[in-house]
Amino acid sequence: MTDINRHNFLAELSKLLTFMYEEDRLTALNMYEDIFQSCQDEQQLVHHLVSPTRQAVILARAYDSKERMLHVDTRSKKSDLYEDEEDMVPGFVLAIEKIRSEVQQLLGETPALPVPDEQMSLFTAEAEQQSLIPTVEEIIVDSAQAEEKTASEEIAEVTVEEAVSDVAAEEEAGDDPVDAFLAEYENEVPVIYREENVQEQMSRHESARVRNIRRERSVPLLILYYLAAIPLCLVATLVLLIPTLISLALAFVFAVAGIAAVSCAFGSFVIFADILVVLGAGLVLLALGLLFLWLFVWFIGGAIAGMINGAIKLGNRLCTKEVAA
Amino acid sequence: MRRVWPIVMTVVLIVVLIGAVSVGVGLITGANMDRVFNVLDNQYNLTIYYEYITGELIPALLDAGIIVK
Repeated sequence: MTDINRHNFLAELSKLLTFMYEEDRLTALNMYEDIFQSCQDEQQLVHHLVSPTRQAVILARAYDSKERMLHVDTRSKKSDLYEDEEDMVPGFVLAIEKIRSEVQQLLGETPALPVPDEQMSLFTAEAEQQSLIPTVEEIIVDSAQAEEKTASEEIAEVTVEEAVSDVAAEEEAGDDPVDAFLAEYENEVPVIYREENVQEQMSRHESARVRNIRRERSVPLLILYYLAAIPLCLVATLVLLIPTLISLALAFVFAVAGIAAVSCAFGSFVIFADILVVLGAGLVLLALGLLFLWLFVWFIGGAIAGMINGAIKLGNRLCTKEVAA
Repeated sequence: MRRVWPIVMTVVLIVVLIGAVSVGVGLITGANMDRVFNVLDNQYNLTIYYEYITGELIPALLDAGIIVK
């Protein structure tokens, strides 16, 4: 585990709460910021909260997006406070309040004593430092910028919302569902605050390098390739046209013969055994006609078109060079 | 294309099987091939086509070198 401060914690939490409506996300982040501000020992608080991922899972479990969809719109027209509607306090707010009360009990916070005027200078520096601490909105903007820069953060794309259904199933098993989920999550997806080994980092660098490389066509090489490839393709196409046309001719002959045999079987024969023989022969001829017709289609659409497509792809592959983006 | 091959082959095999069973049942139940050929010859002049192919077309192709004996 690496040490993280309030800024990192809230920035990461902001990214993980994208499944919430914007208004709810801001509310949740503001509440977490209040918790941080009310707590004197930041590291102990972070230790208690464990990780942003864990908090995001807790919020995700308490968050009812369908119910929130109905309330967000009406809330935007009313006051932003939840105290006036006790029965409509959303689950995630209650979850954060529960965390706040746990933190207060654990850290044993006491109300601040009145500070003499002569000691206020001690707090002005702290107050200035407080003003330097970014607000939630700034944290969100910073996190959005950081998201664009770092490729490694793509691993966080596995949203918490997708995993909530799994957590609900684990809840029935009896253990703490949040811990169970996080244990499974750590096995599947590398967590940001987990120390990564060198191999993972190298593979990420390699994938990022591959993403930064684009292929550029070399026009002179391409022209040379097509000068050689077009005659060869024409010859190959002509060679392939022979079996293609033979297939078409045979399909036509067998189909006509089969149709003639079947129609003749019911029109010209009176003995049932003869009808059966001619009908069977007609069916065999029709089947052969279908086979040769499919061969014709395969030669046209599969062999010839595939050869031309393959030649074009080969040209693109041979006549391109890798250029750093 | 690859997915169509099994479908086409299955249909062809089924139809050929039905046709072969029909021919077999017809022969077992008393079909006469000479009688069948006579009826078809009367209907489609098969003998004329056969004589044309064996008597004129194939020798012409052999002379032209298209078919090698």
